[in-house]
Amino acid sequence: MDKKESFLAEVLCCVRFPFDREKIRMELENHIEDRAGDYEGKGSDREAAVNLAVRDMGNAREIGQALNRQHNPVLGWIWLVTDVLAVLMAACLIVSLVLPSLSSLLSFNRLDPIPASDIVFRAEVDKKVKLDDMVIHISDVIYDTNGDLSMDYEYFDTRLWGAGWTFSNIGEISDNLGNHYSEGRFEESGGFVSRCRQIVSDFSAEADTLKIDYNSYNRKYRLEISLRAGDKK
Amino acid sequence: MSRFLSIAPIADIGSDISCFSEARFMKVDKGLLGGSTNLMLLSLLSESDKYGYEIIRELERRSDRTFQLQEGTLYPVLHKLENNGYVKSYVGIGDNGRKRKYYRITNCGVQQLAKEKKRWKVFSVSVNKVLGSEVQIFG
Repeated sequence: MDKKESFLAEVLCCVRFPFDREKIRMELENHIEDRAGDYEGKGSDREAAVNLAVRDMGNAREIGQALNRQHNPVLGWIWLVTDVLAVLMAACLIVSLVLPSLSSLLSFNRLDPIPASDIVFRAEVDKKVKLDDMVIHISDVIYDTNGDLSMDYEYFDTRLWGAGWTFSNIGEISDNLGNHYSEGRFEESGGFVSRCRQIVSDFSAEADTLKIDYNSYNRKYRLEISLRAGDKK
Repeated sequence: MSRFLSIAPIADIGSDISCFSEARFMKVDKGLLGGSTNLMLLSLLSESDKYGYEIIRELERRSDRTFQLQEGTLYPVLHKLENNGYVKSYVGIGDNGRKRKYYRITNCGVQQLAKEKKRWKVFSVSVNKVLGSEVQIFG
């Protein structure tokens, strides 16, 4: 091992925090090379120049011990662990909050479309209601060949950090003939803007108006949606 | 002020400097140089960002080779300045295409430099006053 390498090795063996050794090595080696270059410029051969440059550096052990005091392994490990934790927490935050919000804002969380061959008619609705800080927007009403009536809607909280509760019941469903519908199912694709589908079974083919009555927790709204105005398929 | 006068904060390693005078090397006392090491380094870095070898060369040039540091001892001092928040390092590419670790003075370092300058002024004036009286006594 030449003098430069043995000098660097002796310095670095005193530095107990391993992750800083490479940077220290680069800095000291550059210095030795710069000094050796100056000696070579003054006429020394390469080996003599490096030896002189190493001599000018001083006592390797003393330098290593002094560097070790500045690269305290306890603080170094604390710094490293907190750094890694911060990155992990940021990654978790992105995965749990930002990505779902982005995907919902960019409409990646759309519900599965109902096949066109199953649609008897579609009414494009654009009805919005507001309950406290929650905006509910009903966009489509679709009647299919099974006799199911699907109501597609989306909702979101106007506050950035909303309460986060699920709005799964848009109200009592009835029609202009006086039929009430309670049988059905519900689909939801969550996110910053949640997209939902309320489906009622065996909706009357004769009815021409859909009525939605919401009356819960002292909040009310009533919507009437004309089905005959819908685009017949 | 008392910290400066009592002892140098980085004297343990940064003060291994020889004084070249009349073709002879003379060790300078640790306490004398300890406080001024911070001052000199911060002052050099306040002019421009520099890497270690640049600092050494500049110290040699400006002091007419009076201050000849054992060059490796510069780095613990620089790293301590960085740990104290007075300088910040970054890796850049030097003239010869080699990676260099440059040091840049921070706002905190600029404030520290002003304090160190003030302390140095008071210290040197005080020392000169004492020497002046000695000259009268022993001269």
